[in-house]
Order: sequence, then structure tokens, then C-alpha cells
Amino acid sequence: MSSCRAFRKRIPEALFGEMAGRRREMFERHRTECSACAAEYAEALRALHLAGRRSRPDPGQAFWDGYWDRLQARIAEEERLEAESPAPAAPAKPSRPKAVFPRWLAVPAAASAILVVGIFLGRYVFKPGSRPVPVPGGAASSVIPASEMDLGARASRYLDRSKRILLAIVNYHPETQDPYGLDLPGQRSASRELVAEAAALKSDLGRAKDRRLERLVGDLEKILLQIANLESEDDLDAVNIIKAGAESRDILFEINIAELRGPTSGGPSPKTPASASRGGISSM
Amino acid sequence: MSINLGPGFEDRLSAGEPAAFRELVETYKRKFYGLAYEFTRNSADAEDVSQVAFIKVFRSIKTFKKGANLNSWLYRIVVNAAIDHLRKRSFFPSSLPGGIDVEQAGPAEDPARRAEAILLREKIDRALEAVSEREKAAFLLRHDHGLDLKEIAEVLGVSLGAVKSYLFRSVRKIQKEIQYV
Repeated sequence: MSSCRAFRKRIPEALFGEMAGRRREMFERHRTECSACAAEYAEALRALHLAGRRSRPDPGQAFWDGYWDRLQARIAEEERLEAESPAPAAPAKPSRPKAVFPRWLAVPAAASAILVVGIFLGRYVFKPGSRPVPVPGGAASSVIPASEMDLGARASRYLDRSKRILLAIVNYHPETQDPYGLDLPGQRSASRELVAEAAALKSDLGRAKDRRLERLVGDLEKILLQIANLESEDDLDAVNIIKAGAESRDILFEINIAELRGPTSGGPSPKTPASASRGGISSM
Repeated sequence: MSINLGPGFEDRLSAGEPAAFRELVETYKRKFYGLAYEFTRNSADAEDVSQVAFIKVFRSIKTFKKGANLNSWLYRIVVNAAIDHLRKRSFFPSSLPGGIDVEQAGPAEDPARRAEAILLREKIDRALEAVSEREKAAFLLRHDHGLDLKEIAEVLGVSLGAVKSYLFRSVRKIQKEIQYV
């Protein structure tokens, strides 16, 4: 199966004579062994032959004979227009009112003014720690300390990045899609980063007693580890196993539920109707 | 596929020798026009784009790095000129493509073959309209102009893998479009 996918991926190289040596040998061997792939290749080859037979316009010999003269005339015309256009050295400057301050003082004065306005806004308008961070839903727990919000933001970012990777893999259909469409090197490197981040995040979530999110990050860590360890972008069977694993565990659903619950508050998280009805997350 | 314009040609060109520039124009005019036509589907626009490309070559030849691939550099200029033209045309649609010029559909031959060629051309045009500018450029540069994948990667400023992907998608589209021909 995976050799069929690798074969299809290499069809353009083979079609355009860009394949040689061992790769060509393997390609040809597979073509003789697999009738479906051989048919696919023959169809692509036929399409190329037909594309080669399409008519190409030729404006005629008179057009080509006069081409150089027309080009020369155009170059000359453009040069003439450039020469005639007003010289860039003397743009008419609008008269300015006489400056109150010398010009050298203007930049430092403007910078100082911006600084003063910034200090004023920072001190009186955006006073640090004076505003609670609102949590969507829930009146009793509608405020959380900023230090805890950091953990929430980290968890939320982690879920969001994991979700993007999983969505790309779950929505990828190798039967109909371009094998290059799935950016596996990119997915692998992002997964590695997330796996490296998981341990610290789980431990912080454990301290904040958000067991549900801690478990979800743990589940995600296992799937992301599988993605990070994919050996090559041709390893589409392994991709299918990961897809099946993510789908069977409803990981994306669990991420959506966690996102609906909002950032972790450090205490026991309020149950949404959806999470309550599902009664928890299946472990891996 | 590199075109050999003789020893020292690049030096003569970089030095601004008019005969070298003329030689270049004579060698590439049909290629530039043909590629521009594939993008614009209009003979007047194709000539305009090819001339704009040659003027750019004329003005920036001194920036061409010695030892670099002249063929890729030239194709890069004409592809960019064609894409610029299309983008401008989408803002100022003065000359929209309306199918192919019938008088330019090909050499006069038997009407059935001519009709078949026109139909085929329309189907391939439709398929190429459905792919992105880069995918189209990759297909045309490889199929019609014989550039190798490395040269196409240089022209489009992308990786070799991306070029393969562009070709894969464009061939698939064409295959789908002409499966009943």
C-alpha cells in the first residue's frame, strides 16, 4: 500500500524523465507488479501526450520579423519618456511655517512626548493587577489571578497547536490527495516541540489540580510522540495508524470540550453539559 | 535544458553589447511569447508581456551574477512579468481572455483535426486555469520549455519538492479534464 503511494508520488518525476538509477528500477518493478499503478501511470502519460498535441498559437512570420524593431522602438520610447520626465532632484517643496524649535530638537521632543503619554496611560489607564481576567461562563469563578492565567494560556496554546497538527492528519486522505499536501516534516518538528513541552505542562496542571486537562495533555503527548517519530513522509501507513488512534479516542472532541471550558482556573474545573454527559476521557 | 549561446556570451551581454542583446532576443522571443501567451491567452498581451520581460532583462543585465544559470534567470523574469500582468489585469480588465484566438489555433489543416486541437486546447486551458500560477508555470516550463526540475525550482524560487508537488497537481488536473478525450 505504502509503495503504491510512493509510486504515485513519483509519477511526475518518471513522466518527465527525471528519475534514474535505483529509483527508476524500483519504479519500473512496481509498475510491472501492480496493475492499478501501471494504469494510473499510463493515464498520466496519455494526458501528457495529449497536452503535447494541443495547438500552439503562432502569430506568423511577419510578426516575428518585426519583433526586434517593435521592441527597440519601445525601449527607445521608454528612454525618451524617462528623459523628459521632470528631474527628481528638484521637487517643489510646500512652504512650511517657521519652526518654533530648531529641527534637531524635534525628534527628541517627539520621543519624550510619546514616553510621557505612555507612562500616563500605563499608570492611570492600564493599571497592572487592577483588572481581573474574565473567564467565559460562570459567575462565581468569573475571576482568576493573572499568575494562574499564565498556565491557562499555556494549556490553551498547547491544545490549539496540537489540534492543528491532528486536524491536518485526520483530514488527510492519501487516496485522493497529493502526498505532498501533508507537510510531514513540519508536523514532525512541531510535534517534537510539543512533546518536549508536555512534561512541564502536565506537572503544572497537576499542581493546579486540573486532572482532566492533565490527562488530555498526556493523551496528546502519546499521539504527538508517534507523529514526531515518523521516519519519512512516505510512511503513510503509520500516518493512518495515528489517524485511527486519534479518531478512536475522540481526541479532537476532547480538545474542543477543553477549549469550551476555557482556561484552567487552578481549582476543580466546572463541568460543561457536554463533558458531564460524556463522563470523562477514555485513557490510552 | 540550457541554451548555449556561445563562449563569452554572458560577458558580452553583461558588458551591454547591443549585438549580444539582439542575439538573446532572437533566441528567446518565441519562448517568451509562447509562455506569456499561455498565461494571458491573448496575442497582444503576450507580446506586451514578452517585451516587458526583455526590457527588464535589458535594464538589469548588470545584476546577473556571473556563473548563475542564465536560462533560469530569463525565465524567472518572464514568469514574473506574466504573473504581474495577470494581477494588474484582474484590477483593470480591459482585455479579458475569451477562449482562444481561432485564427491562431494552429496551422491550417483538415477541419476535423483542427477542431480536435481546439477542443483539446480548451480542455487543457480549463485544467490550467484551475491550478495556481506557480503550478501552471511549473507545468509549462517543464512540458513546453523543457526546463529540468532544478531550473524550475530556481525560476520559481521554491524547493525541488515543491516543484514536484506543482507538477503532480497540474498533471492530475489535466488528466481529470481530458479523461474522455
